[in-house]
Amino acid sequence: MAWYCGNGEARDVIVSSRVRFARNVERIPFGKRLSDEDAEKLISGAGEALGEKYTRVNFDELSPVTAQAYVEEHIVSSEFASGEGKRALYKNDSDEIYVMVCEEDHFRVQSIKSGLSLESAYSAAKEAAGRLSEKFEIAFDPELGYLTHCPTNLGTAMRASVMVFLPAITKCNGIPSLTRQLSKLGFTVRGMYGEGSDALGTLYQISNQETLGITEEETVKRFSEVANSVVNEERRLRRELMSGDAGDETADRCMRAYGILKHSRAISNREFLSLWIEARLGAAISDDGGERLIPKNVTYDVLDALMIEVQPAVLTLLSGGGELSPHDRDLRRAKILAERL
Amino acid sequence: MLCEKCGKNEATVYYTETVNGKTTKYMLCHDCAEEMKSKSGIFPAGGFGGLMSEMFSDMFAPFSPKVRRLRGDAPSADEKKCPVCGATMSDIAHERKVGCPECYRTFKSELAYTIERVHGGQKYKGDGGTEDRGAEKAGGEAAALKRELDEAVKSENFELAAELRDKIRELSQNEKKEEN
Repeated sequence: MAWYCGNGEARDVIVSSRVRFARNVERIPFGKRLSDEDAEKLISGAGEALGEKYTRVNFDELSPVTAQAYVEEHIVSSEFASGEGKRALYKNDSDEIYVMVCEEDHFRVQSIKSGLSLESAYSAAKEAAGRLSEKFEIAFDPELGYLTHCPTNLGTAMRASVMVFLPAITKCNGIPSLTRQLSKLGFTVRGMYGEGSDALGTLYQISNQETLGITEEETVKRFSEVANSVVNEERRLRRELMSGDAGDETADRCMRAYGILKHSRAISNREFLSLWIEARLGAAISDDGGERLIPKNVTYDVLDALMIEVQPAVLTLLSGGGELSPHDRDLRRAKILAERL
Repeated sequence: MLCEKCGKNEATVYYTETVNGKTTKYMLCHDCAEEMKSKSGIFPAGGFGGLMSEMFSDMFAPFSPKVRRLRGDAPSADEKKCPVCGATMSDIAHERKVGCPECYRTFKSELAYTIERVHGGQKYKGDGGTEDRGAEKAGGEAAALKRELDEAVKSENFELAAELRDKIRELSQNEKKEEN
């Protein structure tokens, strides 16, 4: 089951939660100094350590479209997908733990879950990191913590993040102030697809900054509290957006967005994304006890899966992998939307 | 690390300077820090000062070849190399990343500046590497050493912690040999 089909909390605001650990092995160089021999040692050793529930995917042998599909699913970084040299991904059979081997660090262990699920993503990633430490001598220093390729990750070497959907805070111009407040608490806010100007600028990623001077558990606990307060603020402002004349305008936009998504012949990825955001807001408002703006069966699972599955590379693979022109993709995208919605 | 101004004495003082609202930190020796107190700026005013202050906003700045040349401390052919990966401090400043985990030990004093700037002088407070399930399973002696290690880290007795860590490693390696 992919990460976007799950039952995490607060999915009306939080699309997904992710926890990632960097781990490295003593006496093995990083990046361009890493030999193919050492890379293979890391890759095959990781396979033995992680066990039979994990599948190995050799990224140095993948076609560009398949590698790009992993980027669109938010599983690997684009640097890893388009990188050079021996590298591999291990994914577990329940499709929620991923281990990149020979990325920037020797190992990047991550767990992704739907909604607000930082605690469970943390335990899952921690368990997998523990397996690696049984097999390898993990580089660690009592003062600096886990040793990483880039000094910014030293310490817990843990990066936790949530993908958040903030149409109401964005509309009320609240993002700059939210960014300042969270920065004081040690969290960074970044736009997923550029910021502000259009509907695409309502998806953000919030992540922890500090990795030294704070424990993993403290980070997760503080982050969950921060995420909850963002959820409450977004929900409060959504209710305001739905009151009075503004409410009619909001409802109109959500309903029209759903209509176009369901009834078009060809639709570009960009248009899809901006309508997807309106439709998702419609689903959230309907679930919050308000007027039902889009059908009940169009759940977060359906919408979040669509966001991944109609991206160019995933769409190409799902259509059999043959080369598609942009126009073919737009037709194919519209067809999938009509079927699912 | 050496003083960023004279490049001769060991740096012992953090010096913070604000120019046009931009705050920059330097590591200085005692003498240069005293001298700074009686002056308004660390480097000559004008273009040169502006260039320097821009470069020093970079966490690796003191080791970038450009800054070192300006300071009359150009990297030489016999620059210290990491015994594991061969990286020099100039390489690290250029690549903005270390060459291997051992670099953190080889360039401990040099990297202290960078790490201080990035992490604000915080020390590690995580699980102390206890996810090493191999050592935990060994129980008995290894588990006891692990608890001592946690205590040593908490009380910031890092010398003892390093010793204990080596003992734990030795134990787990012996165990692996026995298993084979």
